[in-house]
Amino acid sequence: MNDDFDDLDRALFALPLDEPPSGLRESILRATVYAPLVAPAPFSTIETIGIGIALALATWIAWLCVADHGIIASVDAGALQFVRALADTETFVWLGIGGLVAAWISIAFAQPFQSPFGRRTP
Amino acid sequence: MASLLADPPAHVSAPAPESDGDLVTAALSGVPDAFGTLVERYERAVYHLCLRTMRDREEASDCTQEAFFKAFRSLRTFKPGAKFSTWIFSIAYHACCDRLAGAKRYSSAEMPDRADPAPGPEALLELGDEARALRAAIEALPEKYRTVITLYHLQGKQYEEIARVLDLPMGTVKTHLFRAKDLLRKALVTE
Repeated sequence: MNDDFDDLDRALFALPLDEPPSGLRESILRATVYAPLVAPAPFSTIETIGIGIALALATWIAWLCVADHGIIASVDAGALQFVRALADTETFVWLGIGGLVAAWISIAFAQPFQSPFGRRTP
Repeated sequence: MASLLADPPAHVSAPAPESDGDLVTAALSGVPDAFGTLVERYERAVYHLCLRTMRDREEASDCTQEAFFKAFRSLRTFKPGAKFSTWIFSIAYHACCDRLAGAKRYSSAEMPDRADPAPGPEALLELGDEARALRAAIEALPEKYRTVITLYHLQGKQYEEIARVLDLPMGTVKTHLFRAKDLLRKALVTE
């Protein structure tokens, strides 16, 4: 393919580009970098659903409490039983035994392993 | 011959010291002036390409704006090391094609050879000026040759970049370019 277009190339590259209409640049910048920021949603969809479920549950429980005083009485009785259990000596003994076992396990297994075949050299 | 854009430019406004890649990085890190500089650098060239493709000033303005908007939205997809000019020209060219396809002036599958009404020898003579005659001859080229010659005007002898913008094999670009120049020369000789 013979590419002998030097004169044409010169003329072509000397052509000025078309002038864009005034205001085009401003319009581009307004649509891009200076476009008003849209505030992002404070919660994601999953979070919004979770919050909705939690609020519905809370409303339902509140309604149950208001509509049926028996629930308040049973919750009250449960709380009272829990406090009494904490005040019981037997509970304290078992709590103490549990705590001691936990402490022993922590101390026993938190030590570095000593080889039975000899001492480690530093 | 060096590219008009690589070789700074009678066409492009005041050259900024930063490279295009640096400006993209700065724009991504939230510096608004960085993208503004890119717009300033390429607005005229992109508009020129859109005008040559659309042949309508209003449509060319819309396509230019759309191209920069799309570029801004997908700035993160710009590959470091690539040429920004090729990228923005490609976006602009495809915006033009979409618009033309939407207007059913063309089939969206292929850009056909459109027999544009050439401005005849008298009209060319009336233009007087060589540059205006050349411009009129370019205007009269069929679409595919006009686009290739416009990109050649904008990017210089960077056939690979032109091929990338147009999504065409390099051989096809060279063939189109040869035919375009041949038609231009014939049109100017007729004058």
